[in-house]
Amino acid sequence: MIVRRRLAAELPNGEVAHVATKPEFTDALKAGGWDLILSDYMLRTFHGLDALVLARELSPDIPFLFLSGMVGDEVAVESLKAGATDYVLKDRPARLVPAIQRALKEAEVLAKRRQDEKEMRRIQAELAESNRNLLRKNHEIQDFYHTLSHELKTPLTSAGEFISIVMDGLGGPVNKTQLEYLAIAKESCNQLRDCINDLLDATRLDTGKLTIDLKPVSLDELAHRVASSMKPAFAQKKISLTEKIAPNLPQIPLDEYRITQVINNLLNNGLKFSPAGGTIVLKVREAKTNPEWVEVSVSDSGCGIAKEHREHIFDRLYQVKAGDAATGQGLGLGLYLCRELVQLHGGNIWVESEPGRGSTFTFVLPKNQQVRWTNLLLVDDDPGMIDLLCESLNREFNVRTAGDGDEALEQMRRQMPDIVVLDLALPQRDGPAILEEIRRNWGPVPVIVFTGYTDGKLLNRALAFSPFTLVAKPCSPDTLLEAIRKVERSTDTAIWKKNHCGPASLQRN
Amino acid sequence: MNGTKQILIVEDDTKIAAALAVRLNAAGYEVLTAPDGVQGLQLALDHRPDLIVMDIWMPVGLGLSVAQRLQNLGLGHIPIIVMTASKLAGLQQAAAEVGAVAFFEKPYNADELLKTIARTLKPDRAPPIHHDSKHSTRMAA
Repeated sequence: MIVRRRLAAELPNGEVAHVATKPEFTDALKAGGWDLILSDYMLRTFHGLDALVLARELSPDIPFLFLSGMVGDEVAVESLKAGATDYVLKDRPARLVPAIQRALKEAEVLAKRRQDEKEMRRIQAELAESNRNLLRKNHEIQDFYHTLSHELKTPLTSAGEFISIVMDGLGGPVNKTQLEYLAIAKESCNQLRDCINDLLDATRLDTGKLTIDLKPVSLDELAHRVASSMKPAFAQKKISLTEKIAPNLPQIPLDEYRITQVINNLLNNGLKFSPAGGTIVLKVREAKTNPEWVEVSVSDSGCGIAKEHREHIFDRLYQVKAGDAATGQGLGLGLYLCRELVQLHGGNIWVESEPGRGSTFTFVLPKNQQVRWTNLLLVDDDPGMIDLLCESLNREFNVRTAGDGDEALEQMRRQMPDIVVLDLALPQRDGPAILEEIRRNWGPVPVIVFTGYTDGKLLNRALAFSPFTLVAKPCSPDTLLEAIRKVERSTDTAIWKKNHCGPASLQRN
Repeated sequence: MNGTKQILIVEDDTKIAAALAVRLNAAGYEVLTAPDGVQGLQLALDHRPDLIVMDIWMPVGLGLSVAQRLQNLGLGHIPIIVMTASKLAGLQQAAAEVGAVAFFEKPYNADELLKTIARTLKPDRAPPIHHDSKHSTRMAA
C-alpha cells in the first residue's frame, strides 16, 4: 500500500496493477501492456527470482525491478545477474521512483534500439533478397542471350552456307552479276553474325562474365594478320590500307581473340566511315610517351568526329546520328566493346579527330603486366618469409606459394611451375621428401633449394635428388631474385619450359 | 569399298544438315545424315562411317554423350568433329574431353571444315587439330 501511494503521488500518469500469485502474474504478463514490473524479492507464494525468470521469458523487454527488505549485496548481484533491471531496498523508498524512471527511460532506449536493429535486419534481408533476385535475373539475361544467339545463328548458318554453296558453283553455273548480288547477301550474313557476337559480348560484360585469357603474343604479327584478312573488303571499297608496323616488338600479354576483335572493329569502323579512294593507316609501335606500352592506332581519312560525339563515342549503345545512312549501322556496341576489352587488358583507348580531316583511334597495351613469363612455386612454412619474398618476386614472376609439402605437391599437380623454390626445413613432409616426390613424378623441373646453414642433414638427403641450385638462408630477397633470374635463363629451364609447357603455364595467376 | 570415304552428319537443323551434305558431296564424300543423337548412333553402328560431324545441342541425345556412347560401343576410333552455335563457355573443353578432333563454331567456315576433314581422313596422318581462332585452348587429339 505504501508503495502504491508513493507511486500514485510521484507518478501521477502511471497506472498500477497488483498481482500476488504465479498464475496471476503469468496471466498478467500474457495479457501484456506493461511498462515495468516491480516485484518483491520474497513473495508469499513464490520466489521473486522465479517471477523474474517468468518475466524474462514472457516479456523480455519490460524492465523488472526488485523491491525487497532483504539486505545484502549478494542478493542484489544475484538478481541483476538473473536479468533484473534494478534492485531497490524497501527501507530506502525515496530511491524507488527515480529507479523506476531510470528503468523506464532505459527500456525506451532499448526498445528503440531493438526497433532499429529489427529494421536493420529487415533491410538487410530485403537487400539480400533483392541481391538474390538480381543474380537470378543476371543468370536469366545471360541464359536468354545465349539461347537467342543460338537460335539466331542456326538459321544464319544455313542461310550463309547456302549462299556460299551457290557462289562456289555447287548449285550450277553462276553469272557475274549473280555472284555480285550473292556476295552482298553473304556480307550481310557476316554482319549479322558479328552483331550477334557483339550482343553476346556486351551481355557478358554487363553480367561480369567476360574474361580475358592472357598469353604472350606478338602484337605486330597479330595486327598484320588482321589487316591481311581485311584486304579484300578494303579493295572492294577502293580504300587503301597501309600498315606501319614496327618490327621486333616484344611479345606482350594479351588475349589474341579479343585484341583481334578490337583491331578488326577499328578497321571496320574506318572502312565504314571512309569515302571510296580514302586511306586508312594501321600503326603498331612502342608508345611514344612511355616504352612500357605498345600502341596501336587506326587513322582514317573520313569525315572526322565532332567534339560532342568524341566524348561519347565509346559509350554503350552510342551512335553517331548523321544524315548519312551508313553511320546508322550497327548496334552501337563496337567501340564500347573495344574500350571494355582494352581496359580489361589494363590498357586504354582514345580518339583524336578533327571534323573533315579524319580520325585516329589509338589504344595502348602494357608490355608486361598481368602475365609473368615464368611460373614460380615458392614452398616455405614461414608466412612472413613468403610475404617478404612475394613482394619482390611478384613483379617478375607468376608466383604461387605453398606452406607445406602437401600443398606444394597439390600446386605441382594443378599448375606445373617452371621453377620451384623449396625450403628444406618444413613440418611433416620435409624438403628432401618433397624433392624426392617431385623428381619421381615430374623429373627435371628446375629447383632452387633455399635453406639455412643449419640444415646440413636435410641438405645431405636432398643431394640425392640433385641437381638443384642452392641459395643459403638468410639472404636478402634480391639475392634470391638474382638466383632465380639466373636459373630462369639457364638452358635447363628453357628445355623444361619447352617440354612441359602448355598454355596453362603462361596464363596469368 | 571403292575408297570413297563416308561421313555421318548428326545435326537436328535439317537446313544446316543439307548445306553440309551438299558441301561434303561436292568434295567427293558419301554422306549420311541423322537428325538426332539416337539415330546418329544407330547409323554409326550400321554403317561405320569414316568420320562424324556432329552438332552438340540436339533434341535427343546430346552430341557429347553420343561421342561417349560410340566409345563404349567400340567405335571410338571414328574421328568426330563437333559443331555448335552456342557460345557457352567450356563446350570446347568438353568436346576435347570426349575425344573430338576438331571444334567449329557456327556459322562455320566451310573451307576450314573441308580442310580439317581432308587432313583427318588422310591415311597415316595424325589427326589434325583445328580450333576456331577465337578459342585458344588446344584440343587433345
